[in-house]
Amino acid sequence: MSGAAAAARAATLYVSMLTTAMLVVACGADPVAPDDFGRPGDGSEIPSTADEAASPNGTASPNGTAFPNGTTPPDRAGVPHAVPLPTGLATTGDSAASRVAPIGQPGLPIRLTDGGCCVRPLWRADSRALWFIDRSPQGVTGLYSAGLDAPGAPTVLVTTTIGTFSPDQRWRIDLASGRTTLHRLADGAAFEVPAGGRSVSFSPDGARIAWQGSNPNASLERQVARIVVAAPDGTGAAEVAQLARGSLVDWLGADALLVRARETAESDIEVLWRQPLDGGERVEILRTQRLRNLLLSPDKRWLAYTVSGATDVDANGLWLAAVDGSSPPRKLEGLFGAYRWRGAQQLVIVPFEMGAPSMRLVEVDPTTLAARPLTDPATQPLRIANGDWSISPDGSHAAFVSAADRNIWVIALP
Amino acid sequence: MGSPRHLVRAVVLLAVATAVRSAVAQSAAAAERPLGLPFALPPGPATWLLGQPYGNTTGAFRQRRTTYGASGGIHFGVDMTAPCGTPVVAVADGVVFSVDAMNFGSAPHNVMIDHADLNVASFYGHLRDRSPLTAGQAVRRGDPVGVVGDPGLTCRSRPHLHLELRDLAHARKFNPVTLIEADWDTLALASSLGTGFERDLDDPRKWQHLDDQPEARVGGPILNDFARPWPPDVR
Repeated sequence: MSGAAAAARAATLYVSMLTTAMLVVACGADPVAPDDFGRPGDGSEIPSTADEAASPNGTASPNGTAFPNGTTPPDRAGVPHAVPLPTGLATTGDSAASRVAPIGQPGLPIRLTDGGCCVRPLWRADSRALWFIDRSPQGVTGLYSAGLDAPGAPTVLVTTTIGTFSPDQRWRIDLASGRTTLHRLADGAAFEVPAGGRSVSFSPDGARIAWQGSNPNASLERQVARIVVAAPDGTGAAEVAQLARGSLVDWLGADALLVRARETAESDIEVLWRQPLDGGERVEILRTQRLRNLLLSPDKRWLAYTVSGATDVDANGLWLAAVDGSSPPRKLEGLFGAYRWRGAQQLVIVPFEMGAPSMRLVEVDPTTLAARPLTDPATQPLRIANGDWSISPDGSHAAFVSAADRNIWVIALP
Repeated sequence: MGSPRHLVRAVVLLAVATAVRSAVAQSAAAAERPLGLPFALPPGPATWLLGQPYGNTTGAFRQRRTTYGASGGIHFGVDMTAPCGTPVVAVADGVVFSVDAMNFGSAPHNVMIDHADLNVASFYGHLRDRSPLTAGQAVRRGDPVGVVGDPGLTCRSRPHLHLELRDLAHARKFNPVTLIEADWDTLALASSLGTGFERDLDDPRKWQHLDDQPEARVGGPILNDFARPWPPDVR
C-alpha cells in the first residue's frame, strides 16, 4: 500500500471512529432547549482590497461572500427551494448524523454536512443554520443551508442569487463584473451605485452605505483607498476620505467609520482613525507598526488586532484596545492566534500551536483579560481548514470547516 | 446509553483513532512531503507567518492578467511574511542553479536551487541582499540561502519571502503545501487567508483548499478566468 493510500485509509478510519464515538456519547443527551432567536447579525461586509489580498495587511472582515441573515430572502429567480442536493451531500433518513447529539449541549464537534462540502459558511442570524455556496448534481449553483437541528440532513437551497445583504435584509446587493446594484426587496426597486462591482457596507441603522474604491492594477505602494458614503439608493454619494494604502474597517455607528491607513505611503506605521461623517476632524485611535487582522466587537467598543513583523519585538502579538481610548491597548501575553468575537464581551481565540494534534478554543474577557478554555483538545478534537471558522451570532456555537474531511462542523460552547 | 461505560468506550475509540492516524500520517508525510520549511526559526508574530498561499487566491484573480498572467493567473508561490533580514534556509539538499536570475522574477534578489533527487527546484524570491551562494554550489537542507527582503525595496512596505517550487526545467510550478512538511492548518490560522480563494460558480468546490490547487506553468493558459467568478471583478 502506498503512503498516500495508507494515510487516506487512516483518515477514513479516524472519521468513522469519531462518528461512532459521537454516537455512543450522544444517545443519552437531553433535548435541545429553544434558542435565542432573532438576535441581529451582521450580514453586511466590507470589501477587501488588492492590498489585503496580495499582502498580509488584511482586515479580519468577512470577504466576498456575505449572505442574508435570519429569514430566507425572496428568491426572485423563481427556483424552487429544497431541491437537489449539492454534490456529495446525498443522505438517507438513517444517516449517522441524524442521530448525533442535539445541538446546544457542550460536547463533541457535530458534523453538519457530508461528503466533503463547502467553505466559508456564514451563520444565519438565528444561529440555527449555516449557509454556503454550493452546486447540486443537477447543476444548480446557489446558497444552500445546513441546519443545526438536523445535522446531516439534506442541505436546502435557499436562493440561486449569490449576493450580499444588508443587516436588516431589506436590501440585496448584487455584484456583477464592474457593477454594484442594490435591490430594495420590499418593492423590487433596483439602484446601481457607483461602487464598481465592489460590495458595500451598511451602517448599523441601514440608512447609509459605504465602500472603498481603489485601482487594483496599481502597485501596492501606490494604492489609495477612496472611501465613499451614500444613501442606499446611491444618492448623495460623497467621498469622505482618501487613505494611503488604507481601507475601510467598519462602521463605528450611524455617523462614523473606522478607517486605517499607512502614516505615509512609504511608512510601515499604520494609523487607525474614527472618521466622522459630519465633516468633523478625523480622530486617531491608535498607531503601530504592521497592524493586521482588525476586528471590531459587535458593540463597537473593543478592537482586537495583531501586530506581526514589527521591529519592536515586544509589539508583536495579539492586542485589545478600547475604541474610545479609555484605556491603553493591552497585549495578550502568551496568547496568539486566530480570533472572533463571541457577542460583545468575549473574544474567542484559536491559539497558534504548531504541531498540536488538535486545535482548541479559548475565551478572553477584554475588560479583565481573563482567559478560560472553551474546549478540551483531548476530548473535543478539532482541526480547522483554511482558518475557516466562526462564532454563531448568539454565541452558542462555533462552526468550522474540518481539515480532516472538509465538512462543516459545529461545536456547542459552554 | 450515555452511561459512563459508553463514555469511556468513546474516549478510547477516539484515542486509538488519533494514534493510528498520527502514526500513518507521519510516515506518509515523510515520503510525500520531503521538503522542509525555508526558515529555521519557528513561526510566530515576531518571526514569520503564512501570507498569501499558493493558488487560486482572490488577490491573484484580480491580477490574473497582469501580475500573475505569465504563469496561469494564480499565485504561483507561497508568501511568508517576515521582517527584513530574517534568515532563509534551503528546503532540501541540492545544487544552486542560479543567483539573481531576474528572468525568474521576485526582485530585488533571488536564488534557484535544483533538488535533482526529488525532481524539484526551490526558488527564493524578494531576498534583501545578493545571496552568498554561487551557481553550481552544493547546499544541504537548512543551509543559509539569504535573508528576507521587500519587493517595495524599503523593508517597510511588504517584506516577505516568495517561495516557489518548480520542476527541474523551471517551467512548471507546484503547490508548496503538497511538498513541504509543515502544520499548514495551523499556519493558515494566522494568515491573511480570510480573503480566501476565488470561486468558480460553475464549480464552487474547485480549488478552495490550501492543498487543492492547480499546477501553474510558465506561459500557460490563465486558469482562473472563470465565466462566473465570485467575488466578481471590480472596476
